[in-house]
Amino acid sequence: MRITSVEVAALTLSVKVALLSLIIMLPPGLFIGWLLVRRDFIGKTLLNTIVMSPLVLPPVVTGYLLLILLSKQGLIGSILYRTLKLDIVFSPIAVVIAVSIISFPLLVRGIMTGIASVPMELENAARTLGSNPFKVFLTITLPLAYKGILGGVILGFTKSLGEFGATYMVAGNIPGKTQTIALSIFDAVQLGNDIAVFRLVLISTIIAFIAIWVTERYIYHHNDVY
Amino acid sequence: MSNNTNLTLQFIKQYNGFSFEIDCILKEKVTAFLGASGSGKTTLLNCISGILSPDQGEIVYQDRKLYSSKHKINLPPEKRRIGYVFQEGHLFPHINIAGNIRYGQSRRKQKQYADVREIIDILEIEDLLKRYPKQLSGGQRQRVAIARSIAMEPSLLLMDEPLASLDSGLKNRIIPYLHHIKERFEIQILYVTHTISEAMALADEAYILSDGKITAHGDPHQLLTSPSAMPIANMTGVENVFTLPVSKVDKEKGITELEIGKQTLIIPYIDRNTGDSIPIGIRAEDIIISLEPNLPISARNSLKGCIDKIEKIGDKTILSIIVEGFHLSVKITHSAKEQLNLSQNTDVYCVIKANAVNLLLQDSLDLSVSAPTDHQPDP
Repeated sequence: MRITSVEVAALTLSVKVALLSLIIMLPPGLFIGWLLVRRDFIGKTLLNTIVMSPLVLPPVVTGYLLLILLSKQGLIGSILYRTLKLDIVFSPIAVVIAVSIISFPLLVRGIMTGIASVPMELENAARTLGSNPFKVFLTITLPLAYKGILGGVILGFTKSLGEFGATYMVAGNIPGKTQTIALSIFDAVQLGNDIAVFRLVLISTIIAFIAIWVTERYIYHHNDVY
Repeated sequence: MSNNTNLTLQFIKQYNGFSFEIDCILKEKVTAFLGASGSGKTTLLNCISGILSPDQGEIVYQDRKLYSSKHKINLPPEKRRIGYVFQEGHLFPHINIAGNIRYGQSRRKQKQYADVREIIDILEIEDLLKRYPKQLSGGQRQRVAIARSIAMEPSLLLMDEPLASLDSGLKNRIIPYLHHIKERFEIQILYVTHTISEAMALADEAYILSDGKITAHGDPHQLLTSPSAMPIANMTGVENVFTLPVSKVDKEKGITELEIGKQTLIIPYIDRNTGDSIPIGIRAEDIIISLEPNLPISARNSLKGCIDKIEKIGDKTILSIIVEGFHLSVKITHSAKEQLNLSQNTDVYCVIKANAVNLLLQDSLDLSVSAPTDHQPDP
């Protein structure tokens, strides 16, 4: 019944990838979330649609599009290969990319909810007190939007942990290299290894459950301390 | 402050199908803009502060162009250094009171006209510094909001109905603080209100705004007590303004009695002598009409009068009642008028709470609500 080294590697990779994608996507997520809530500009609906599309597209479709873009013949992949001799398809980098794209809409949704909950009047008041828009964002918007942002972070992180379709398409299912926990469950099912399936499903379920519970309990239903 | 304290306002702004137009030069220390809601008061202040951009025109303060469509100048709010006290205070809920006051403070290092310590003393908010905005009452919050905007040492302060969310009793307590500020600091104030008594109590000059335009301006007392002010009074809420002599002062009971003919009007205690004349204002909607004297209710005043005239304005009825030779306007609903069967020459009693009487004193009266404290809070 002991967890195997391949499974540990899958779990570790999942957590590492989810954390890394969060660190990479949080700054652009904050910027795009702010842009979509607070600014009016041409192409706003288009940007919103592009950012949100992984939420509704089948992950395999997103993965396939990424594969086309990132392969050695692809639009981005060819440039990377020619300049940096980098082939990212079927590498851990591809896992990070797939997971980041898939979880980004959830992250941005949370950020948008958070920012929209901050009264604009407070931001205007801060402007009249001498703060430029960036300082207003740091000192007023961000601290007051933290609940929504944290909600987006937790949901995005959890989504990243469990991502399957896009990862499989663009990064494959290489044990110890690109195999995440979701992919290892898939393998175990294919091999008819019921005990391993049970173990991995339990781990995934517990992580997901804790994330949602924490979000609901401490973020959305917590009494305001201010 | 530079010698030129003129604020030139000359701009147009279309906003949500509403058109605002202004062309005036403000020179006085405190200028009041009076108008009903929707007259463009907030649009005016938002354009001056830079939160909104006018469509065309010019805003110049002390020879400095804040906005000019001709020269393509439009300074952002943070570069204008204009204080703004909002109707709802807009204190930052996640920062304590000390932090709120400090928020705009550190910008200007040279030439301090306003010591933060002194501002805190004047507004009597020492005890609140460690609290959060949610733990404050409405009056305390507005005092902190005022302190916060003065702490950044603006030479121009915009006030958007800072007392509108407070009841008359609290208003009367905060107005003296504003007088202190006006006298103590080199600061020009633009005060927007829909309450005649506030404009009279504070302003050196008053403008009347209606439908996005200035319709009258001049000395506040002349302007706001003259018959020409009646139209705005109808929009902003009619306010009855009189000057009455003090007949009795009772510090222990916390009341002052004013003489209105042979009758008495009781108001909260003020530090005045018998015989002094006091200008007061009572809003038409703050008066209750009764057909019986001496009802078992808490309101202190029940003035006997006689209905002189009944007018229908919109969905309200305005009664003109003569009390000891004074005309008192009272706003009631049509149904109240029908139910009480009111008509010309009916004898009625005007029931008025002592706290509903607004003081229109032009000096910084010490209401002796609290003496200066020795308490030295942490900075």
